[in-house]
Amino acid sequence: MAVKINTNKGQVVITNKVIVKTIANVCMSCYGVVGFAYGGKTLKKDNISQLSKGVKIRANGTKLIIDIYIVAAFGVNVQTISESICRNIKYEIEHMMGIGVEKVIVHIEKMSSAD
Amino acid sequence: MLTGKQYANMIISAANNLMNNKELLNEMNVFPVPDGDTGKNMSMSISGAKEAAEKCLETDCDITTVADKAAMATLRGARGNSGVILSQLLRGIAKEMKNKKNINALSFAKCFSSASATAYSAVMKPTEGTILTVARESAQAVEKLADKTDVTVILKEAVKAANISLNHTPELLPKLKQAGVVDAGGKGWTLVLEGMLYYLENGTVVILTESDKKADTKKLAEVADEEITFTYCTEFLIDKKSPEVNVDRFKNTISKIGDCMVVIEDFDVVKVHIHTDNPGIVIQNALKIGSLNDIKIDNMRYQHNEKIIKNAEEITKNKKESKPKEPPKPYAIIAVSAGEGYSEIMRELGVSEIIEGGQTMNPSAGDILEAINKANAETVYILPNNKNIIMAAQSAKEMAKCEVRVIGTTSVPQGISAMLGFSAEADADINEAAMLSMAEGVSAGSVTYAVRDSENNGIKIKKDDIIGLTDAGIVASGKDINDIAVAVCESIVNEDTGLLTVYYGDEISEETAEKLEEALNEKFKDFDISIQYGGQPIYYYNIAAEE
Repeated sequence: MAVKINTNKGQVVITNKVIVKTIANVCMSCYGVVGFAYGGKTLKKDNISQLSKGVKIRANGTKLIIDIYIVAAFGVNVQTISESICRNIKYEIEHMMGIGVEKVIVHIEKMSSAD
Repeated sequence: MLTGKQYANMIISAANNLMNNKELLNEMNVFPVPDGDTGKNMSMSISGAKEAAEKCLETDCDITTVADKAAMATLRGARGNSGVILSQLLRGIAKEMKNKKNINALSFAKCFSSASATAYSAVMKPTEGTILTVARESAQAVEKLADKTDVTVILKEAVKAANISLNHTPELLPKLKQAGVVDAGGKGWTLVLEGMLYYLENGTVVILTESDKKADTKKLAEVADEEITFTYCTEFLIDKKSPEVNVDRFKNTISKIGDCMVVIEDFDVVKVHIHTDNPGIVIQNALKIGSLNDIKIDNMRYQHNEKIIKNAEEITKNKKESKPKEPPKPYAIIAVSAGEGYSEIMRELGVSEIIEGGQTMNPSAGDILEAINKANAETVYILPNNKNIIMAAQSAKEMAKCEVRVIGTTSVPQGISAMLGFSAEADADINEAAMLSMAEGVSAGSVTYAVRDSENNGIKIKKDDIIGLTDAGIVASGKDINDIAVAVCESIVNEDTGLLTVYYGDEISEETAEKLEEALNEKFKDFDISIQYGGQPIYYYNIAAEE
């Protein structure tokens, strides 16, 4: 699967892998995100191909639906960070890649331990 | 010495200063999303802290209580990214102040480091050139102060450093430079510090300017009008008849006649909150689950608006007509596993039925068929998770009346990975292929004990020796379980591996597993290591290496 954008000069193809990694990159710099979750496991090492396992995308028409599975920091307002994650990802993907985002679903799978 | 009263006033002063400059911050907001709401978010976040501080002034609390309450209030009211970071900063301060009745200059300086550290701990990849940088650099400046004589001096230095740091933010973050502004969140934190300093220097708090007050109340009123669609806010607790009662059906039914629904389920209690025009129907349905407690029904709209009610009634009427039946679910997943840890992981991943079984107790085709029928679904996926069970699953498939797909997983870790390939939207063929390919990406190994003397690959093994197994056979033997586990890991990783997951069995204590985690972290620095409780019998460890 890939996103194909037709322009008058030709076609641009963006593979899913690139989209997923970009999302993971944006997401890991969002405040309140301390890691990704993947099947109950925690991914924390700074290795983007690993971390992007915590991101799933699917298409609805020409728009993307993004699921991200994260580990949230203890002591932050999770509702608020989820909202800002949604907004950041939507903004970055739409501006960086020109792909419409229908929705971003944030799954908070774990929390980092209390300090 | 800093007292509770002083700190409370500092918070109020900081909040007012922030609120006065709300519009300025809004205009500066270009990162991460240029939506012009940083000022609004930060001032709304800190307004809770202000209220808490005002209450503390009335009761004359000590500084720990003030700091705690202000931090908690900000956390609860946190809006937007900058609001969350602000709440973390205040929480860091509160943490440092804990158990101190009075704060001297030295401990006050430490509060800044604690604030910065707490704020940084909540993000994987901090973006520099934001509020985080400003908080960190001002903390570092204060730390350096040799003679920490006076709280005011400390704060003054912090403000100075914060301003320098703030002016430097465009250099760190290109987006700011393009827009020709400094970071709005960073400016916000500077304003907070300045507000605090203003109180210490002048003995009075920053006065809140009138215009902003009005704007706030007006906005709140607008929101309140819009949000009411249903009249009665209905809240109660249900004491469940039995722990197995299915709440989903109840949720489905009541979600059709109201909004703002929150249903929280515990082992024996369900808490229900919903806005509806038919509290009676909600309660009737709840009675099917168990007895009710703490019932509260409020009319949210005294001055009611005829039109809105009419609309709501129509919507409710339309929705009421479709009552839920019990049709088969579109899909269900059945897995075979042994060990409570495994079962829990499987359930979390979306497995609906679990058949207890494994190496030494293979479930029969009849057992599997029974689970298929119980699942009541159009398509059933089966994860046998053992070589010896695939056959039984295949024969269950032939007897079953619905569509059954057997995914040939040979270990529980493989089954867990297979689950990650599943997608509720995809059809059976796609899912089967995706799950299978996920399962194949896993190389698995395990650690167990020898049941008899034997010789394998030239290694002599005595009964009760610890052995490490992979698909290739026995790869290590010895006396120490963790050593063998490390050896197994070595033989299953390859250059593509990035994630090692170790599931420990019911005979392994948590401490032993943690020791193994340390050893593995040492040995495989580039991998993410994950230790999970599988609770499986016979195998001390099941280990999975994935790409």
